[in-house]
Amino acid sequence: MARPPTKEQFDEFAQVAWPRLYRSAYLLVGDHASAEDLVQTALAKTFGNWGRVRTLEAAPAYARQVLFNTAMSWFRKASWNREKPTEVLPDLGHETDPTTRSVLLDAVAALPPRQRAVVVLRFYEDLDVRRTAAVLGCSEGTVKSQTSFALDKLRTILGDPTLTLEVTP
Amino acid sequence: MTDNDLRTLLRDAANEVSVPRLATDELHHRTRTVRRRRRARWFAGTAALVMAGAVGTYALSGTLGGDEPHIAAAQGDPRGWAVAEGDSVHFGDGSVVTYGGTVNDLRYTSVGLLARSTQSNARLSLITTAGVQPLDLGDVSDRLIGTDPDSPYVSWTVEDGDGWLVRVVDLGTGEKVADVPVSGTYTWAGWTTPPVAVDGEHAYVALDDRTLDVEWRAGQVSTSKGLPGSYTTEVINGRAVTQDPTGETKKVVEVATGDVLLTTRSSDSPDGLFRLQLSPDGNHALAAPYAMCDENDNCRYETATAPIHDLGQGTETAVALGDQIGWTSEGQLIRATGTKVETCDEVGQGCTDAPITLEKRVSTISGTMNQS
Repeated sequence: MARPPTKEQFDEFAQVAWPRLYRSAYLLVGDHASAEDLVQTALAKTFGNWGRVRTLEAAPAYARQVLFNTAMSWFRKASWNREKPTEVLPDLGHETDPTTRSVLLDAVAALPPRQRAVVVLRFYEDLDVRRTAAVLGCSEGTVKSQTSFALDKLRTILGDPTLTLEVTP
Repeated sequence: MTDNDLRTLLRDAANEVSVPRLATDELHHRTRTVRRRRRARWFAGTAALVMAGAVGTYALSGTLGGDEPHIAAAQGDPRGWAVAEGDSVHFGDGSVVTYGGTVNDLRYTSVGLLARSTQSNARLSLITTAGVQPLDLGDVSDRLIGTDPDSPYVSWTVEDGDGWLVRVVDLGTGEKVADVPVSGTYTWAGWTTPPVAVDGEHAYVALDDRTLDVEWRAGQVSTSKGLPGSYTTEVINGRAVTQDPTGETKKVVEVATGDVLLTTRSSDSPDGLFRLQLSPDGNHALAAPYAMCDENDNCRYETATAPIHDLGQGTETAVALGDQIGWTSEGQLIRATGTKVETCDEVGQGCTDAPITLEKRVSTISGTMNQS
């Protein structure tokens, strides 16, 4: 039987996992301060349950689950829901190019929280529909519909009808 | 213009996000805080501490045809509780019904369990001990449907011009009993239309700036005093869970008056993260942690106990969680641990094993809404 990873291994894990978790968090919450707070919170909770992480290989998925649980809890707060998503971005005064980093990130930030979470899990974390549904605690149908709504909204915001999803089911 | 694959674009964009160094001092501070909370919680839990503690018009009736709902009443015990493992629904009396898909939700109504599939959120069925009755409610994909454990009424919203209709259907007769028009701003959640909670002849519709209290039989629409906007919750016997804008404080309130029956704080929880869930009779509230899922999507609680609050007595009892916990429609606790399923009194005592045979573990317990 494999031994649970040690506390020293947690410190190493935190250093290694930090960049990817941070980028996921940034995509989810849209600003650096909140992203740092979210990942710090998720890592601290992961540490709190470190004895239950059976192997070091399981730790990244565990920390990601904690991060998304925490984020979804934040999103349920009215202040988040009122402040973050907007239907329409301010007029940029020029044609948008979705290959421009800030424009795409702003567009993702304009999605409602659940759609944003689905987009991050499927297209940044590269999870399939089933695993995305498991992380978010919703049905696979919800993941599919949220993906579709999100893509429609991104196409509208970015003005790019050719935005595609090379999706694995 | 060439095709732009979102996956590639998003990865490229994310990789350009500057990542600060991990503030290890801050992380160590937080991990020490978590550890202290867990120790305090363990002590409290093992001590099993009990402490004192706009007028609308509406269309009525008419059996619906065409692409509208068409439902016949199901036979069998409509009040039975159940657990699901994969596509099997195991009732507390030992009867087993095959759903034909993986069950995501089992929500109480007075005429049976309203089941939702994990494969398709538009696939709804009414399940009793007699079997499964598929429901055709029209287009209900990606909407939050309100149910009431004590009535056959379910409700959701449908687009209607610039607003929505609050549609109420009696699952017992298959009749649409109300379409009440409402309007307002809805952007806050990702569901296609505003989410709805049902409690008797009231439907609660969560908009951005307020929650509407729709007396659907009378067609009266007003703003709920007890429920905020941009937040959806079940309403049971006039009671509901709310939380403040920071999420630090969660309360059980009387929705008609806003009177507070219970106040809990995130700092009371070992990791600061829990859901306050009302029992189907509205008499108890469980401060349950979030379930954690492993790499095989097996989800379970990771803390041994959680506090359950008796709203009438003002008392709090630590209850063992097992893997998953829920309620019967009468307010008894259902606890699943591995292949064992038991029912207990309302505070988790006096438990009795249920005649249920599982292969591995429960995936869903009736009476718990599982839709984010």
